[in-house]
This record gives sequence, structure tokens and C-alpha cells, in this order.
Amino acid sequence: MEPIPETTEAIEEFGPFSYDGDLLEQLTEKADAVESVVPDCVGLSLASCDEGVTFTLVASRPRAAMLDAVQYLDGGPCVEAVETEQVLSLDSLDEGGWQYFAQAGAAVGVASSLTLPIVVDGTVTGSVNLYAASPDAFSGHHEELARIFDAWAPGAVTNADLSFSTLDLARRAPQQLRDDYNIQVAAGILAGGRSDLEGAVQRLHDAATRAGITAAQLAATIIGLKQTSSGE
Amino acid sequence: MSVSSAASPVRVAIVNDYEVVVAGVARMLAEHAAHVEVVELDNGLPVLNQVDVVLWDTFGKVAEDVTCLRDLVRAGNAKIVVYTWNHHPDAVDAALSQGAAGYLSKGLTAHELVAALQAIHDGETVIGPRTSDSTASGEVVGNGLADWPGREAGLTPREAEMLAFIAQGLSNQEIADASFLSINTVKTYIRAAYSRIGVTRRSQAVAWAMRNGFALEAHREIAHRSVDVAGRVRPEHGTDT
Repeated sequence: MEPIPETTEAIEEFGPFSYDGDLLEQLTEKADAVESVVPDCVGLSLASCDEGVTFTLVASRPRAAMLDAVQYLDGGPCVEAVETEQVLSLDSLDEGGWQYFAQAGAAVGVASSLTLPIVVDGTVTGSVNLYAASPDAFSGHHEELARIFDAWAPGAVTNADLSFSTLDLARRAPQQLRDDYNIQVAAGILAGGRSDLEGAVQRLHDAATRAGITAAQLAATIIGLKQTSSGE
Repeated sequence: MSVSSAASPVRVAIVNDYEVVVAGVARMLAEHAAHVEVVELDNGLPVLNQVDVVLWDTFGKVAEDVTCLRDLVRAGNAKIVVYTWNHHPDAVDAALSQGAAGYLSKGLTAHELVAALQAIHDGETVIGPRTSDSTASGEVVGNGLADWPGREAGLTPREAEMLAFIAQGLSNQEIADASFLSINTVKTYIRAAYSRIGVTRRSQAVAWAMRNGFALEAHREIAHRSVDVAGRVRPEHGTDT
């Protein structure tokens, strides 16, 4: 498995995300370890609560491209969600929606999935989602797979994500990281060396809301103005 | 190169975006006031007064800033001298192509720096010189005389500069381009910096930096007998923020 382009971009541009070594290398090593246990594994997603982003590796890029293409055939719930910038919940999909997703997942060979929570000191800090090309591919391997990620095997959930929805989350990671980063930098500019950064973040959000734009858009503008004035 | 007993001291303005950096250089030169007069200290503001040399410290500067060297001087024909830890050949070439009259290492002793400034004032173009403190990649380890934000937290100059760039909103590739380093080297420095200051992600690093001397606030200090922004001659050291 190899990282999707957005995962590579997110880690290269906004990392490091690990004190000890390169996260891309670590993810690839873990993916290799997963494949040694479940050769049929076609996808791996790691979601971090701290960073609020998801990183994904797939068995081959054509698989990811096929899933992307299927989503845009004749609309469908996934396309609708993207176009209206809504988050799909379990309740919002009718039977037809679920079947569409299942078929989309099946189109790229996702027939089973395994979700494992990562727990540190009693707190869920992230999760791992694994995807395989055959049904029940992860059966009997929960403990072994959990050890690879220091995840909590008793919390495993099977087949909760046959649509490989984490792939879409991973594609948004670079922009999400850039937006979060810009908001913090802009708050620093607003705070001007004073310690009340949290207050500055709140002021930025409030101002953006009143102006009818996103906080990320306002932050980018503030940073641009600062860079322009510094160059004068 | 040796310090000459010139008739009058070289008048110098020190420029950088970080007050602690500017103050550190000024302290170093204070012992040589007979040969170098620090007329003006500017962080985030252009030079106002007539000076012989603008000592332009590159800490936290992006590559595009090099093209603004000439814009720092509003009046007069001061020679612009780059003062840096980075002696990558591309960085040197970029500065010289923008008209820098000198490219000096932060590894120089104060005595060597003064001699170099005098030589530049006399019309020479001085580059380096590279000292034994330089690494193979052209990075200067440091002479213990310079100062930088985050030093008290144990940050090395490079690690501090990485934080400065992060606080300015640069991505890792942008930092690599600004500092003439590979992106992997940048990530290594950032990882080390994170470890020293106890953070794990970029937003935390920005917050820490803003609370620990990396916030950019424009400040100008003008020595006595100089003219301030309003045209008044100040009998004592004055400040303008």
C-alpha cells in the first residue's frame, strides 16, 4: 500500500506528526505489517483526534481513482453531500443510499472493513480503519492487527465503512491543515505578542461570522495583509 | 583582515524583524564604539537615518525578502550587508545579485565583524569569510555572541528560525525554499524544536512561538544626534514604535 497524494502532501507540508522519525515511513511500515496478516487488505486509514485529520494508504492508486469516479456517476448521496457541504450521517441515508455506497465500495473491491480505536490513558486519540477485498478478511485477526497500531482490540467494529468514506476525509486533509494553521497564525498576528491567543481566535471567528465568510478565509486575508505590510 | 583606526566610526543600522536579534547584534558591537557606531535599530521598519552600512540580519527572512534589500534604505547610499548563519552558495549569489556589498557570517568574532564592516565601508565586497564553525553544508554553528528568540528554551539558531517561519505561516516546502535546506532537513529541525518546547503539532508551535518572543512587532530605536521620524533631533536615545 502507498499513501494517497493528499496524505503525502499533508505530511510533507505540515508535518512532522511524530517525534521519532517520518510518519510516512511509519505508516508504510505498518501497512506492510497489516498486509502480512491480511494479504487481501486494500486500504488503511489513520484518523487523529489531535490533528483532526485522516491519513490514508491504498493498495494501488487506480483503486482510489475508481472509487472516486463511481461517486460521480449519476450523482448519488456522496456527490450530494460534497456539493452541499454536508456531512452524511447514518440516519440520512435510505436503503438506496446505503446500497449505492456498498456498490461503490464493492466497485473497488472493498468487501469488508475493520475499525479499531486507539486509546491512550483511557482517552480515544484516534482510530484505524482497514479495508479488504474479500468478506470477513479480518475475522480472527483483530488482536494481531490492533497490536500493529497500539489499538484497542475489544473496541473493534466490523463492516462499518464499506464505502471507504475515510478516503474522502483524507483527501481534505491538506486544506484542513492549512486552514487550521492559518487561523492560528492570524490569531497570533491579531494578538500581537500578547498572551491571549484563545481570545484572538474567538475574535477572528466572530468577525468572520458577521462578515459571512469562513474563519479560514479571514485568516488567509489577515496573513496576506501582514506579509504585504512587512514588504513595504 | 584587521580593524583600522579610521578617522570616524562606521555608522551602522541593524535590521531584522525580531527585537532580540537586533539587540544582540547591537550589544556585540557596543564594545567597538570607537570604530562602529550603531545609529539605528530597526525591527520591522525601514531605516530612516543616514548611515554608512545597513547590517541586515537574515534570521526568519524568506527568500523573497532578499529582493527588498534596497527598499530598506529610504535615503542615502548605505551599503547593505547580509549577516547570517547560512552560507549556501545560492543564498550568497541571491544577496549579491540584489546589490549586497557584503555577506558576513555570524561565526565571526566581534573584532572580525568590525574589520569586515570597515572594509566594506572602504569599498571592498566581503563574503564570509567562512570560519571553522561552518558545517559542510555552509551552515554556521555560531560564535556564542548572537542572540535569537527561543534561545532560553534551548533552541538552536536553526531550530529557532524554523519556529519563526512556522509562526509566519510557511509550509515546510516554503521553509525549505527560504532557508536553502532540503524538506527532510527542515522536518528534522522542526521535530527537534517541537521536542525542546514540548509541542506535537503546528498550531501548538505557533501558540508557543507567539508567547515566547517570536511575535513580530515593529520597533525602531535611534541613537543620539539622529533625526527621528518627526524630524526632531533627539539629545538622548529615543524609541519609535
